[in-house]
Amino acid sequence: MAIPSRSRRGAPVPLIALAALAACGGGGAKQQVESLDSWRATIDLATEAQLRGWVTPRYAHQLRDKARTALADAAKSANSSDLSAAARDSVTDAARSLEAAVASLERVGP
Amino acid sequence: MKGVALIHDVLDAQLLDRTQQKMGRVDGLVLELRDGEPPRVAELLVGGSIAAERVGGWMTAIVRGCCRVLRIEPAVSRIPFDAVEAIGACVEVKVDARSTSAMRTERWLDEHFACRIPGGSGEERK
Amino acid sequence: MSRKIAEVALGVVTGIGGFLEVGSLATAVQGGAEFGFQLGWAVLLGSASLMVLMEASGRLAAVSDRTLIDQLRERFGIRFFLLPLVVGFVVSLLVLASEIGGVSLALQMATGVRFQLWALPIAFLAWLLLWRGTFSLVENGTAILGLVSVVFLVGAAALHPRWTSVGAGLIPSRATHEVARYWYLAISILGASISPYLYAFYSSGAIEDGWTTEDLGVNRITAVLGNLFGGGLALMTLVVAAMVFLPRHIHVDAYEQTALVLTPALSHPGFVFFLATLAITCFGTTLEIALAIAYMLAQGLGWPWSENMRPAADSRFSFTYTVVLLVAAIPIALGVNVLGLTNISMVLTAASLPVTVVPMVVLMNDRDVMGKSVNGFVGNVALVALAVMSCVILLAAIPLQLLGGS
Repeated sequence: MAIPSRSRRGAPVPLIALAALAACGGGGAKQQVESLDSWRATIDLATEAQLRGWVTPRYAHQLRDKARTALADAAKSANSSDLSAAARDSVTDAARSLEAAVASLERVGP
Repeated sequence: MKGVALIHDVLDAQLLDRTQQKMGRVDGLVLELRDGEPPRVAELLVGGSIAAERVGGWMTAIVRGCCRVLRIEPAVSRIPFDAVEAIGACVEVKVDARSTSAMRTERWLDEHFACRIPGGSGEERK
Repeated sequence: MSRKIAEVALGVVTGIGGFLEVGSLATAVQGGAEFGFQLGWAVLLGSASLMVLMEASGRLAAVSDRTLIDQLRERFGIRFFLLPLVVGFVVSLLVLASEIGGVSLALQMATGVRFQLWALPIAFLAWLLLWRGTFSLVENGTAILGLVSVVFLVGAAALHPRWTSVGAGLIPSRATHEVARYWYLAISILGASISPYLYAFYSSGAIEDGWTTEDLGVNRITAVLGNLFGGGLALMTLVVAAMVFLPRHIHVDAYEQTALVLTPALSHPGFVFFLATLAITCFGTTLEIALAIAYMLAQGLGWPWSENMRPAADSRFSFTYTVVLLVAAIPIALGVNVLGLTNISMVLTAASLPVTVVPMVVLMNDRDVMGKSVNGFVGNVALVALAVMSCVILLAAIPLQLLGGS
């Protein structure tokens, strides 16, 4: 059962929550996509901020590393879960958008 | 004769020694039963083990366990009720705190912790 | 008269500069990012509640010359007292760890050095300030530096929000989406504002500063204005997040994302001032909570205590804050997720409110304790409403943590 990535922002989820989430199946992919889209938007803002000199490159790199962790989590859960083909495709698309955003950020920075 | 509300004003009250130093709380009371006369308060008790007994057996077991691990006996200070000078916001007694076992841990930490670190000792107020 | 004015001014500044910290920043930013201005009422309710509790605990200390913790032990006995002591200790320790995490993250974002490596040095610096400093240095020094958090007011103004919409958010409304998440964040915001260590610390501070019945006016103005303006800053934080993160659909999954929030409005200074705010306010709160835990134990068990005494004069008190700082730094040094820890500790703080608020209803109406300064009708309505709210939060906290939290 895929653990929605939003759950990873916190401490270990109690077993009872896992059971509840397991019962809610399809919500996992939706939350995964939302999380990836959120990270893409974060990286887009970080790219703009770095271009304009609002933030330091070292800070932007920290966000990039966090985004990469979100990508790795998404890849793991997409591979190991029983998502439908459509759900897996939406997660893959969102992951690709985030990868492209991360690549843009890397082109900007030193 | 002015009465004293023992539970309300004495039990769990802050104890101050003759130098106005805080020396723990009144964790227990000892009543002396006398033949043909009303009971009187004989002693005030200060000590974690006494407070633990009032909480319950499980708490007493925890305190005794901690004392076993640290290889110390639970400290209980017995202050004669005759030493009580005043009962108000605090209970003031004609006793020097440092001479009682109520300050045993305080003295030990003073010697082995606070006084060994620069800035720990000196004039009482910073 | 001028001395009183100076006292009030300092007290209000302390309230403003000391309001924001790791929890109120995280919960306000998450609230604004996910629900726009809709959770403004939770910020308002949190600061209003804190006003009531701080004023009450300050009045209790000034009138009875005993702190809130003293009165909880003396009026309710050791058996009941163990409950607020243990609950307060555990919850405060979690929040302390979060605050050390907040400072560590701010330094990581500024320097690139991983936050885990900052935890122990920060705990050491906090310890050093408590070891050598006095109560007024600790309370006032960091609060004055914490005025840097006014940057959120500047940032909000620069974004030109529709203030009528911000105002509308101050009225409680139904969640437009994700109901469980909405109420989870509402409770988290309340927990971030109404922390029991805050009003326990405040009543200890009243004794440290030697307050008497002549200071009741100062107490009232300080508690009300300090929290009004401080809560206003938390509201501005929510507004900024609503204007910057919500339109971009940015949800905060990592604390590091929050440092972007002021950049569209204030460019590079926005980034710098955000990090300064996070570092300074969390450090100030670290000092407060370490002291508050030491106050709780020392007062409850009758040890000598005062931040104005040399550590050797109150060695159990100084040993306590030394140990708790070290213990709280360890999870951060081991890399525990700071945002997750913060979220959980805010909800637990909210859930722990009944064990202090309910007894306060009794204490503030006890003439033996308060004399002529017992609560009036309005004070009692407010305090009882708070007590009821705190019980509702306790019942709702765990289901909401499971459904709407991590």
